[in-house]
Amino acid sequence: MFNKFFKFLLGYVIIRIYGKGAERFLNICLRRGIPVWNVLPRENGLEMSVSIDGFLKLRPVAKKCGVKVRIKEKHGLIYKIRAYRKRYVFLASVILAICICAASTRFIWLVEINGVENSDINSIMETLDRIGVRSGALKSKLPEGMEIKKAIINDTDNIAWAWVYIEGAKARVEIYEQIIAPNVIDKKTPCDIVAACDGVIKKMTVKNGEKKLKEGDAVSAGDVIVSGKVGVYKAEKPEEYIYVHSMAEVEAYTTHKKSGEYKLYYETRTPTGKNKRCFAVEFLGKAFNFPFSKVKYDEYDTEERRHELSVPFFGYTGIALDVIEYDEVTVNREPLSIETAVEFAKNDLEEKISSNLTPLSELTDENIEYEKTDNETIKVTLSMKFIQNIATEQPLSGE
Amino acid sequence: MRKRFSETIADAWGVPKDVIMNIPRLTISGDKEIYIENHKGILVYTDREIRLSTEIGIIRIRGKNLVIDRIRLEDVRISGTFSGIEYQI
Repeated sequence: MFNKFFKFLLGYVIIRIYGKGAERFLNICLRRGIPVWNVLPRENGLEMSVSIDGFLKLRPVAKKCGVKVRIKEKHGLIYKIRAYRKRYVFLASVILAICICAASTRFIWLVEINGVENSDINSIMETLDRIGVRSGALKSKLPEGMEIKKAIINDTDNIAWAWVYIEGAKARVEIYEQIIAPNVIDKKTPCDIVAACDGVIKKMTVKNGEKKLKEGDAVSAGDVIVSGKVGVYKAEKPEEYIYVHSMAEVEAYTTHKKSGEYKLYYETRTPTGKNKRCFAVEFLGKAFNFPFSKVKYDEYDTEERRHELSVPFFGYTGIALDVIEYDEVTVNREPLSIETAVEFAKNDLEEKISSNLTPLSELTDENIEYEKTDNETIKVTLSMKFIQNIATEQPLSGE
Repeated sequence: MRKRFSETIADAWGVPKDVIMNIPRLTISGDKEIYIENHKGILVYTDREIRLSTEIGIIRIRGKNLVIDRIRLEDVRISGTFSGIEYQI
């Protein structure tokens, strides 16, 4: 890359050597320190690239070898300047474009926020807007980095660190969110044991706390099974309570049911080979669509690419080209048998149910039912029965 | 055959011969690329044959679409599809 750039900067010519002494010509060039590259065999001679300095030294070599040297192509900055030196309007346009680029980099045209997963991105954008980090803001008027950081952290929950990097006309906001610790109740904190889901208690092992229910009782999600509020009874004294951290294992028969609608066909999207490219230019924070960017395809897939114009020393100039490629596709529907659709639905529903289960749940029975809602759709209901530990700790309400 | 003095030195000191005797060193990658150090110039260059002058004689490379990728005073890199390499000593 650099090699090519410097060759272009210094300029070079591609020459054709005619005659029987072409190989000798090449050897003498090497011996005299004239750099040559891209040496290609041609009819009655050779073709090679040589620098402008080297080319000026070729005349005596050609004379010595009895070959003819002809310039085939000229490359380099000096030739480009020569070609455009009388095109004043073009030159003025280039200078104007450079000035616009330089001026546009004094503003922020794009605010990019990275690292947000769980936090509210709109709240961060509002904060940035409030403190002046917005599209069209003058870079010299931006607040200090620490000020921006403080504003983002104070205004939004669960942000551990934030910083704004200015890259040309782009403000890149990097956010690091806090990793929220799992809700584990301290062993010293009084708590109840409540049911995680509906079920019928099969077996209970209470290590601490007062039993509120017994084996065979039906429970709903949230019902207190073991209470952390334990009554202490002493003769001739009023009733007193102590508060303990309840501990218990509660095995229960539970039933989980999920249902969903599934299609009796499978869709495949096959590209037809036809595609259309549409362009939009982003300039000074606004997007301008190119004409003829209407897509007439009924079904298509899209792919978007963004090319930002950056120049050395300035960075992003605020000018970007968005390329949207539309690939036409034909949608084929392949019919599925009811059995296949039910099998697919079963896998899907099993996955959904298992995501809500407590660890070490034991499957005892499952039942699947389906009914046709129309010619193309079936409604599938999966019911799964488990024996599972439904004990969940819940802090005592402030009594 | 009598050994050259430089060859005797190379044998005695265990130094690679291409360093002391200036004999060519060929590095061949399959049938697609040859890198030759210590050549003394190109004698013939066509897309089917390249002949190089070296200290030990002529090295003839035959093949298809032969191209000199890079050439300097001391080394040359040739690419193409080779069918034979011959020493004409």
